[in-house]
Formats: sequence, structure tokens, C-alpha cells
Amino acid sequence: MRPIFVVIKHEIVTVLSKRSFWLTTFLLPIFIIVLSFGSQWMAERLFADAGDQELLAETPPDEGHALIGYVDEAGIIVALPPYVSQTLLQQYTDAAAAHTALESGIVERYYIIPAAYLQTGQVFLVEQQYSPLSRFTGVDIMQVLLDYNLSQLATTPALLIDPLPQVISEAVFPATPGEHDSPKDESAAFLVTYATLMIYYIVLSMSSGFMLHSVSKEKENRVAEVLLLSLRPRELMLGKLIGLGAVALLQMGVWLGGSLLALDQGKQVFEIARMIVLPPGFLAWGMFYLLFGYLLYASLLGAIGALAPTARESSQFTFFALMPLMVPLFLMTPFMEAPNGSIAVGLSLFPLTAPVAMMTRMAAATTIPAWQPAVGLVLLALTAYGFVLLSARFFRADTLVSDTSLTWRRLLAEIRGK
Amino acid sequence: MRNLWLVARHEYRKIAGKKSFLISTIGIPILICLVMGITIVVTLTAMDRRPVGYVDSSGILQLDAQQLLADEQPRLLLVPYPDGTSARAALESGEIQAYYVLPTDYLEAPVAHLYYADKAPSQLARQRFAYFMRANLVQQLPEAYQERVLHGSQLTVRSSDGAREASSDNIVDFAVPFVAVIFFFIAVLSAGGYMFQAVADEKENRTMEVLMTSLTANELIGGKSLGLIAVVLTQLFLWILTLTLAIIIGAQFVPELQAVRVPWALLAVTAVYFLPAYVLIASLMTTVGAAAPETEQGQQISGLLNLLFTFPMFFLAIIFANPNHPFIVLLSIFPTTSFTTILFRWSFTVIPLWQLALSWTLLVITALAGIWLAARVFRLGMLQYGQALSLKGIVATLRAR
Repeated sequence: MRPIFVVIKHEIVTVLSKRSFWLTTFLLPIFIIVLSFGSQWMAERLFADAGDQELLAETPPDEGHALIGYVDEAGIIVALPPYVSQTLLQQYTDAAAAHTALESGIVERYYIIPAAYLQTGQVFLVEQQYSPLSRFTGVDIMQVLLDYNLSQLATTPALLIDPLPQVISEAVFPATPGEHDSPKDESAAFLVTYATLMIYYIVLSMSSGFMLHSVSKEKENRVAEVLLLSLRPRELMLGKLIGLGAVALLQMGVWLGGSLLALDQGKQVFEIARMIVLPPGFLAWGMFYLLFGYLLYASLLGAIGALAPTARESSQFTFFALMPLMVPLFLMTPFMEAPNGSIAVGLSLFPLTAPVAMMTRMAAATTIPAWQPAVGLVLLALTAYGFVLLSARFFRADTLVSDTSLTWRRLLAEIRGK
Repeated sequence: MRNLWLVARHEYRKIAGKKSFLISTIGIPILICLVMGITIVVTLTAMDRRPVGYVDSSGILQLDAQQLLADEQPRLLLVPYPDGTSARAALESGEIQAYYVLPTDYLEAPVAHLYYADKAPSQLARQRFAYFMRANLVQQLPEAYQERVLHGSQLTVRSSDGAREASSDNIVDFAVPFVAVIFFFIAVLSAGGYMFQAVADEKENRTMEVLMTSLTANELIGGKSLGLIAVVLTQLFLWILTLTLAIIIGAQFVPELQAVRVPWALLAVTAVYFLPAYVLIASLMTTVGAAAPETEQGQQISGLLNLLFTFPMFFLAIIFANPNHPFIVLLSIFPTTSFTTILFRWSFTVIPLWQLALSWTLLVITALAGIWLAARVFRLGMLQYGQALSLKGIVATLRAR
């Protein structure tokens, strides 16, 4: 029993004494938050400002704002909406005059409404700062003017522009009384789901990566040969599995604890933090799923490490082995939109995708049937057990000291036990 | 000179001659398409397609919703109910995902009610109902106006010199250069990776020692770079061929693809930026490969270096929203990010000439400095074989004459 403890201690000390481990533990979350949320926040703000939203605001922009020209060959624009300032627009009789005004900087852009507008719907815009995508995604002042003028002949012009100005929504059967009966705030739900998905994906792939790294390093520098003199291969594997598992738990603890602490502190400052509600038992389920998910993937990558002669040669097998973890990452939209849909349920019960998928679903859904996390966990635990046994078969003195390269054929033969 | 070609040919054959090169070159586009396809299919199938009901006491909704929405894709039906009780029963039995109720005085006091089971109806359901409402309301207008108010305008945006034009109904024009840029980018990054591998491998397995007896450092590095450029060009050629074939075949089924034009201007700017960008990444990778004592350690550093080049990818949304944002302009001038940012911005704006000139000049200067650095560090690495090069040591060598 003692050699196992020595291995456990060694693994924990080795990983914890690495500067890169602490850098990843503390800097990676900051990095991800800044890059993904920071850029998204900036983009959202820019998209909100994109187009002519500010020109239509109640307080008109400064006097200094450049004019917007238009040539109305169809004769549609006869009146301006009350919320559009007269000083913003300048009509021109033909395109040449408008273009001259553009080139001399009097107008920043001009529109041409062709005579056949009512039939074709075509409107042309010529602008100094060409940025078509922001025009297409934002509010366009000319569309507002055209809609306003065209709908003036109706008895209820405002309703034509916005047919549903006020909708009172009501859930007839709120999911569960109490905590979840109000619909969750969408951005808060997104935040929790995204964070859960990323944390599980990163912790599982990193911790199992430690296992691979640790095995192949000792194989490469031949320390394994020395080690095998004083302990059995399976003791080595078990020691590594437990030691690195403890490291994974620590990392998870830092991230989860950090997130919860930030959430708690954030409640006073950010409204969004108050809207975040985690389902009951989320943490307990989370720990079990992490534990068995880790056992499954660490034994899988440990087995690859034991068979491949160098870390580099194992990389293509590692990619395939970790692929199931990435599936929920690719299919994030269905998880957000329909956490109880067949795809999300299927993936959260399938053992290889379950650790990431089930926790993401639990974070995204208002409620999920109680049997599903339980069945998912049992299936995951059984599979993890099977993988640990399988991996133990690959941890043999002959594989650990051999330099035979790893091919798909050899892998299949090893699995079949030949 | 002969040695240079020998190294280049060896390097090219070593990488492009492998089966795995062909598999990964063809496999990457297929994998990307597959993932995108699955995501789209899954997203569409995961959507709630049950009908949305409505109870109209105001008498506004006279049109036949089924007929009006028959051609709209994806399919989502609207079903009328005579009163709230029957709509509620349909909701309870799960026949419909939600229902709207319009009161008798809706035209005077437009407040609608929306009832759903436990999950608010999808964006599509809301949009479909709003469209249906508008289709009914436009009946108040003369016939010539109805179509315009219902479907709005099609905006065509032109640059002031008339050289660039984009239309809201032709988003494919944006998509093609965009996809091309991503592939181009993957190719240059993977070339950087190959370069690193080529140096680190030969150092690790000690081939370098033998090579250095008959080659100069410049011949070795130059030859490797040339060979790898050929690899990248082969890769790009295969991708462009696949993309062209895909567009030609796809155009038979998707009419929008017929409008795709060759983005000549974008190709020209790519050609101008390609060489210095490649030289910069290759020289940085050579430096890391030569300085790191172990491949693994070098890989970590090269991962960080890659980040310097991939950085603009995180800000794509901003490039879409405001391609002339000061931060984006900064990224287009900074040497490691300029290549990607300029190419991404190209479709979405007209980049001022001074920005192009400045960013290209800076890129070329940095690339030349990169070559100088790589050659120095490589030589130092050869002198201190097997030892880790410290940053301090590298700086000291660079300072030495």
C-alpha cells in the first residue's frame, strides 16, 4: 500500500509545484472571461449603437452632426416623424447633386429612392465610411422614414410599424413552484450555462491531460523503468489516478469557489448576479459527475500514455479520446434552447458526454426529471469502472518500457487482449 | 545555393509526402462543414415547432394564416381558436406551444396577452405572429403600398467611389471571403507549427549536429522556410480547389451561390500580406524551436505565440459591428494581428490607404527583425547545445556585436 501513497504524494507535489499549474488555475478563468465576455459585451454595445438608433432618440444629436442626404425619385417622403429632427436631413433633386455634397463633406451619406420603389423595394445608399454589415444589422433611418410615410394612409399607422407594442406574458404551468416560477433572465441563464460548460470541459480535459503527460514523461525519460523495480504497474497507475484526481478537485474547488464568491459579492453590484439561480443539489451532482468523469477520461488518456512511446505520438489518439467532451461545446445552442430536448437528454445520458452535458443541462434547464441525473451518473460510474479496468490492462511492465509505436491496429489488438 | 534547395525539397517531401498531410488538408474543411451542418440540423430539430394559437376578439385577423404562411420556412403554423377556453385546453394538451389573445378594443388600446405552458415561445414563434398581424393590418392600405410595408426595402450600400457594393439580400458575398480568410489563416498558423516542429525535431534527435557539418545556419533555416512555403501553397491550392468545386456544385442547388464573384481585390491584398506574415510567424517559431531545450516546453511557448496571431478571432463580433472602431484599427496596425484583421475587415469596410501602408510597412520591418532574431538565437542554440537558453542569455547575445 505504501508505494501507492508515495506515488500519490509525488504526483500532487509535482503538479502543485509547477508554476504553469497556478498560472492556469488563476489566469485562465480571467483570460476566458476577458476575451469571451469582454468582447461580447463590447460587441453588444456596438450593435446596440449600430445604425441610426441614436439619431432617433428623444434628444436629437448635436448641431455638429453631418447631414444625411436623400434623393426621393418615388415621391414617398412627404412628412417626417415627430421624433426625427428636421435639421438631420437634406433633400437633393438628383444623385449628382447629392454626390457633390458627399464629396465636399456636407453629407456623410445619401440615399436614392428610385421611381420604381413601390414595385421593387430597392433603396441605394452611398456612404463615405463604407460599413454595410452595420447598416444591415442596425436600425436604418431611411427605412424608418419610408415605413412612417407609407403607413400614414392607414387608420392605425403606429400599429402597422409595431403590431404588438405591448404583450403581457404569463406562464400557465410554471415549472416548479417557488424558486423557478418566474422565467429566468436570459443573459443570466446564458452566463451560468456557458460557465458550467467551460469549467467542466477545461477541468476534465486538463486533469486527464496531466495523467497523459505524467505517464508519457516517465516513459520518455525512462524513469518508468526504474520505478517498475519497486512497484507494480497498477500501483503506479492507481497512485497517479488518485493523486492527479486530488489536483483536479483542488482546481475545480478554486474555480467553483471563486465563481460562487464572485457571484455572492456581485449580488450587491450587478443585477444579473441576483437573477442567477442554481438548481437544488447542483453542487453535489457536480462533484460526483466531475469525479467519475475524471476517472473515465484520466484512465483513457493514461492508457494512451502507457501505449504510445512519446507524448507527441499520442496526440492524434488524445484528440479522438477527448472529442466526446467537445460535442456539448459545439451543440451549445440546442442545450440553451431546449435543455429537455431529445439531443440534450441523449447526450447527458451517454456516459462519454454525460459529465459536461448533464451539468450544462442542469444549469440551463429550469427543471429536469429527477431520474435523469441519477441514471446518467450510474451509467457514467459503470463506464468509468470499465475504463479503469481496461486501462489497468494496458499498464504493464512491457508496455511501459517498450518503444513500439502506437497505431490504430495495435490499439485494437491491445483492447482485444492479443 | 544547392544545399538550400536540397533542404527545401527534403522538407516539402517530408511533410507533403505523408498520407496524414493529405488527410488533414482535406479532412479539416470536411470536419468544419460537418460540425456546422450538424449544429444547424440539431438547432433546427431542437426548436419547438408546435403551432401557436390565437384568440382574436378584435376582428383584425381576417386572413387565412395557413395560406399566408404556407411557404415560410421553417414551418410553424398559427391556429385560430374561438375563445380562451378552447385555446387553453389546446395548450394544456400540448397541441400548441403558446397562444395570443387580442381584446375587442385592440385597435384603440393595443395590449395583447400571451399564454404559454412553462417555457416562453421561441423567437421564431413571436416573429411569425408579428408578421401575421402586420399582414392583416396592411389591408388598411392601398394595394400598391401593401407589399412594401409588409416586406420592407432592400438596401444596397455603395462606397463613395463606387468601387464596393453590398446588398442586404446577398450575404453570401460576405461569407465567401470570410471562409477563405479563415482557411488561409489556418494554413499560415499550421506552417508556423511545422516550422517549429522541423527545428525542434532535428535538434532533439541530434540530426542537427550532422546537418551543421555540411550546411550553414542560413541555408538550413532558409531551406526549411522555402519548403514550408511550398507546403502551405499546396494546402491552399487544395482548399481553393475544394471551395471552388463546392461552390460550382452548390450553385446548382442553391441559387444564391451563383452570385458569388471572385474577390480579386481581397486576393491581391492577401498576396501582398502573405509573405511578410509567413516570414514573421516562421521566424518566431524558429526562435522558439531553437531556444527551447525540449519540444514539449517549446510547444507551450509556441501556443502562446499563436495566440498573438489568433487574437483578432476573439473580436470578430466587433469587426462585424464596427469595422472602423479604434481598437480594431489598432489591431490592423499591430504586426502580429494585422494580417488577420485587415483580411477580416476587408469585406466589411473600405480600409483607408494610410492604414494599409502603415500596417504593411510595420509587418515587413518586424518580419525582417524576426529573421535577424531567429538567425542569432539559432546560432546561440547551436553553441549551447542541450542547454536551456535563458532569456537573459538571449538578450546578451543580441546585444553583442
